[in-house]
Amino acid sequence: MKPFPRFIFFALFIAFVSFSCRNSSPDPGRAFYYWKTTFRLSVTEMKLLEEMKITTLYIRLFDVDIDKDAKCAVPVGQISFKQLPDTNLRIIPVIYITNKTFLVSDEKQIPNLAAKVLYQINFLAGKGGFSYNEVQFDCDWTESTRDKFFAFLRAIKPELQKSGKKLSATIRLHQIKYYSKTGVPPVDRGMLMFYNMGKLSPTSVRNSIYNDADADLYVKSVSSYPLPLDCALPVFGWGIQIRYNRIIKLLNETMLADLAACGRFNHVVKNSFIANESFFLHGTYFMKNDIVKLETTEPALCLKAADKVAGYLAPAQRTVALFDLDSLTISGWEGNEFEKIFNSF
Amino acid sequence: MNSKKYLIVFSLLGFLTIALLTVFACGDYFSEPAFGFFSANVSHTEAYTPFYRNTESLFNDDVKMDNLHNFDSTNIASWYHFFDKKIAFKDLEKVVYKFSKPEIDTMLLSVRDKQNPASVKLKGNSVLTYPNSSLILDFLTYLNFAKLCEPYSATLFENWRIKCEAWAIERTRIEPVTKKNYLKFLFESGEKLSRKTRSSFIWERYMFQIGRLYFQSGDMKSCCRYFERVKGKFKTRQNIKYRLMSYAAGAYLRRHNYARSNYLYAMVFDKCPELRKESVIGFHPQEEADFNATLRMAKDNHEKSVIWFLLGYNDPQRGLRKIYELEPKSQLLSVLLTRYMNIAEENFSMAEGREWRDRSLSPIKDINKLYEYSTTTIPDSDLTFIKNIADSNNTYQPYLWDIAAGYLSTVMHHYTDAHEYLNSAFRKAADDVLVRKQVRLLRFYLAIEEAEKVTPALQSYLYKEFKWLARNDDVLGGEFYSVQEWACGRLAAKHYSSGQYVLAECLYKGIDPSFYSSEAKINRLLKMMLNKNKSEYERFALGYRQWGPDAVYNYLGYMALQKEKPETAFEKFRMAETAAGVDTGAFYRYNHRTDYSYSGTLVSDPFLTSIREREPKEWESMKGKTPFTKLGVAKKLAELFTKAKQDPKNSATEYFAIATVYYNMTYFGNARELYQTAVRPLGIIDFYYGGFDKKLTILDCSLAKKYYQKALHAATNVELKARCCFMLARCEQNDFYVRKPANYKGDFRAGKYFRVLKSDYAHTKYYQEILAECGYFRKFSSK
Repeated sequence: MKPFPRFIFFALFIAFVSFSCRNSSPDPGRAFYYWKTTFRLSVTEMKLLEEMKITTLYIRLFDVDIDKDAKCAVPVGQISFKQLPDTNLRIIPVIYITNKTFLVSDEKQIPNLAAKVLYQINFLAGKGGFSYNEVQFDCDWTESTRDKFFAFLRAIKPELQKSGKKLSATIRLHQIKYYSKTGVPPVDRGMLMFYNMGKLSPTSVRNSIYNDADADLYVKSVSSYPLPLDCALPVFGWGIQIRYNRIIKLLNETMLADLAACGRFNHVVKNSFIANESFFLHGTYFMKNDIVKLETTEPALCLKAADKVAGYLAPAQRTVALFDLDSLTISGWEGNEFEKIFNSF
Repeated sequence: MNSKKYLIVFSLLGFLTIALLTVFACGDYFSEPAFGFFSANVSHTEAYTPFYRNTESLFNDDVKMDNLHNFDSTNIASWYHFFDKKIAFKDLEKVVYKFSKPEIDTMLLSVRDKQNPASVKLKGNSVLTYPNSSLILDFLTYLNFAKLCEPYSATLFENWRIKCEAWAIERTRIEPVTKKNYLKFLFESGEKLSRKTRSSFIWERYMFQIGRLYFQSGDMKSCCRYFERVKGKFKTRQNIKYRLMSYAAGAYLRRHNYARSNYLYAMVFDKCPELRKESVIGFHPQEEADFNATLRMAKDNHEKSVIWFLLGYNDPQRGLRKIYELEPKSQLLSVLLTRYMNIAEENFSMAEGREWRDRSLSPIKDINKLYEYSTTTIPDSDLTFIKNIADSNNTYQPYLWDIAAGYLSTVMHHYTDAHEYLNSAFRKAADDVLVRKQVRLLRFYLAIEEAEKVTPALQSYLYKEFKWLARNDDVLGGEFYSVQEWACGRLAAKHYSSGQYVLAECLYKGIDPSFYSSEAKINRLLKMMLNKNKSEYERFALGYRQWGPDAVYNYLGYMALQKEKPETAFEKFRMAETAAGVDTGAFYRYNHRTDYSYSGTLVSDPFLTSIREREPKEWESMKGKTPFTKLGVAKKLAELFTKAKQDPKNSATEYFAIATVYYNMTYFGNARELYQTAVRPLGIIDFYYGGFDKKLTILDCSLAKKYYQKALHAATNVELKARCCFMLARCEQNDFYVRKPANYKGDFRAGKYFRVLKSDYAHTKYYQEILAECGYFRKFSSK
C-alpha cells in the first residue's frame, strides 16, 4: 500500500475516534470468551457474534493442572472442535493454569512446561484451523507461586515474539489493588477480570459475581496499574448448592435450566430455592431441603459494572470481552443491551 | 464430603475460580474439627470404618502410589489354601510375584519332565515337590498366561496415558501399546487354556484375567459382554468373581449404562469388603430413572438395602428410612446410623463453632451461646424417627438407637427422654464395655446440659467424670481434649451466670474481659489458689489454666507499678519468687514454677534510652554487667520516688529515670519482662496473632509522659531538657500510631514536642545527635 492513502485512512480514523467516543477512547474491540470443552456454536451464538460485530473470540483451549497420580503437570479438559471457528474472527487462545501447578512444579521444570504448553497450543490451533497473534494465560497466582508463573511467562514470551505474537495474562482485582505485593506479570497486556469480587458465601445476600460495594473497594486502583488493560465483564450466572449452611457445589447454567424445569423446588426468597424432595439430576444429588442460591448478571448489572470500570481505565485502544458466550445466558438479553455495554467504553 | 471432587469438577471453570477458591481452598472450612460425644466404635461395625463420617476424604490414600498390589496378599493366601497349605507361603509369593516368565517356563518344563534341570534357586522351591504334579502344571500354565497379560492389564495404564498421551509433544514419541493382534492372541489362548484346566479355582482366575484384559485394553463392550457370559459359572467362594464384577461395573459406567453399573457396584460392595471403597466411588446414578432401574434389578430386599445404603452414604436420613422398611435387622442400618450421628454432630457443633468464631459475639453477653449446640440443624422428624425405632426394639443393635435417641434428646433439651433412652441403652447392653462407657459419657454431657447451676454435688460428680474421661479416651477416639474443652467452656458459662467468676475464668480464659483489671477478682483467685482445703473440682479448674500463684503475684507486681506503688510491687515480686506452682491434686500436678514467661532478671537496662527506637543491640550494653532484676528495679524506683518527693525541684534526673522505666515498661520499651506474665502473656506473640487491644496499658505511654514532663519542668540543664522533649515526642508518636484510623496510610504527624525541640533546643549537642539518627525528625526539621 502506498503511504498516502494509508495516511488518509489514519487521519480519518483519528477523526472518527475523537468524535464518537466518550473518554476520548477509541471504540473498543468487541470480544467474547468461549469457555466450553466442545467448540460448537449454536445458531443464536453465531447470530449474536455477527450482529454485535464481535471481532475477537477468546477460546479456552485447555487447563493445566497437577495429576494426582502421575504427580506432574498435565493438560486437562482439552477443547474438541466439532466446528471450526469463523476465520474472520481474531482468535486468542486462553490457557488456564492452576495455582497448584506452580506450587508443585520445580523451577527447573518451568522451561520444559512452557515448551509443552506452546506445542499444545499450536497442536490444538491446528485442529481448530485458526492462526493467532496473541496468547492469554489465566492463573490465580499467589505470592508463593508468582516467581514460577512469571518465569513461565518469560520462557513463553520470546518464543511468541519470534513470530510476532503477543502475550497477555488475566489480572484479578486483588492483583490490581496489591500489585506492588503480587507483582506485575511480564506480559504485553493484561485482561482485567472485573467480576468475582465478592466472597462466595452460603448466607451473604451480596452477589459474589458483581456487586457495587465490593467493586468500590478495588476500582480506584485500576487507573494506576502499570500494564495496558483490556477488560472482561460478566454475562454468566451460577447456582450455589447449599446443604446444612455449607456450600457443596456450584451449578452451571445448563443444570440450572433443567432444575428450573424439574418442578422439585420451592421458591423461598428473592433468589433462593429449596428442594422439596431428594433426587438425582445429571449426576448431582439434591437432598430434600438443599438450597440453591442463584447468582446471575442481568443486563442492567453488567451495564453498571461497565459504567463503573470505564471511568477508571486510561483512554487507549482496548478490547472489551464478555464472559462467556453461552446461548442459555444470552437468550435473555436484547441486542441493544450488549451494544450499550460496549458503548460504555 | 469429598471436597476434592468438586475442585476437579470446577477446574474447567478456571476463569471463574477466584470466588470458589476463597471458599474451598481455605482448608479449615472443611477440616474444622467437629467434636462430639458419639463414638462410632460403639456400633461395632469396624469392617465399615472407612464409611464413618470423617473430615478426611474417603479416598485420600496418598501414601498408596497405585492400586496394583491391593490383592497381592489375598492372592497368595488363596493359592496357599488351594494347595492345602502344602506349599510354603514364601515359595508361592516368589513364584507368583517375583519369578520372571523364563523362570516359570523352566519350572514348567521341570515338572513336566524330571529330566529337565532347574537351577538351584528354583529347585529349592516347594512348588516343585507338591505331590499332585498335574495340578502344579495347571498352576504354572496359568501363571505363564497371567505373566503374558501383565504388561497390558496390570500396569499403571491410566498414569501412562496421562503422562504420555496428554501432551501432544510427547505423544509422537510413544509407540502404541495396544497391539490389537497380540491382544487377540491373548484372548484366544486364555479361552483355550481355561478349557484345559479341571480346577474351577484356576478356571475362575482365567476368567478374571480375560475380563480384566478387555477392560484394560479399552474394549468396554466386550468386557460387559464377557462378564454377562461367565458370571453364572463361578463356583468357588473366592472374591475373584467380584473383582471381575467391579471391572464390569466400571465398563458399564464408561458405556453410560448407569443402572447396571450401579447395581454391580452395589453387589461388589456387599460381597467383597476389599473393594468397598471403590464401589462407593464408582456408584453414581445420573438421574432418578437410573437409580430406580438399579433398584428394579435387585433380587431381594437385602440387595435393595445395599443399594439404598450406597445412596444413604450421601443422604443417611433417606437411606435409614428405606433400609429400615426393607431389612430392619441389617447391619448396614447400624453403619448408616453411625454415619448419620456423626454428620448431625458435625452440623450442630459446627453451627456453634461458626458463631463462636464470630468476633461480634460478645463473650459476656452471649455467654450461653458460646458452647451450646445448635438445635436447629436436627429436624424433629429425625428425632421422632430414631425414637420410634428405638422403641420398636427390632433392629440389629437396639441399644444403638437408644444411644442415638438419648443423645439427640439431650441436644434438643428433652432431658426426661434423654435419661430414659440412656437407661434403656444401658439395660440392653450392660455387658458391653464400650456401650457402658458411651452411656456414661452421654450422661456426663446430659448432666452439664441439664444443670442450671453447678452445685457442689454436681462439681464432685463432674470431677470424677473428668478424671474417668482422661483415662478412657478410647471411647472418644482421641477427642478427649476437645470434649474437655467443650465441657469446660459450657461450665464456665454456667459459673459466670451464677457469679462464680473465678471458676468461670479458670475454665474459660477471657470469659470476663474485666477480670484482670479488678484487683478484687484477682484476690479471690489467689485466695482459692492458696486455700489448703479447696475442693477437688476447684483444683481441677485451677489446674486447667496451668499457672499458679507465682504468676498472679508477678501480675499484681506489674499492676502496683502501674499504680506508682513501687514498694507494693517489690513485695509482690518477692512473693512471686518464693511462691510455688499450683497444686491441683491428682488430676494435673504442676508443682514446678508455672509462670513460664517469668524471668526475675531483665535482658536490657530499663534506665536506658536511645534515639533509635528498638535499638537492636541494646542488650549488648549489659555485657559484663550485673543484670537488673524485677526486685532491683522496684527497689530502685522506690528510692527514686522518695528522693523526688522530698525535693521535687532538684529531682530532674530522678524524674527522668522514673519516666524511662515507665517508658521501657510499655510495648515500645526494652523491659518487657516487667509486664510479661503467664496471667496475661502479652508480647510479640499476641501482636503476631491479631494485634493488641488498643486499650491495653502496655500501649499507653501516659505514665512515662507524666514523669518526662516533670523532669523537663525541673531540669536546668538544656541537654537534659532536650532529651525530655525528644522522649515526649516519642510518646506522642506511639500514641499516634496506636490511635490512628485503620485506613490511615501516611506518615507520622508531628505533635507538640518536635516543634519545641526545633524552636528551643536547636543549639544543643543532643539536637545534632537526633538529627543524625532520627529520620522522622530530620524530615520534620527540614520543612
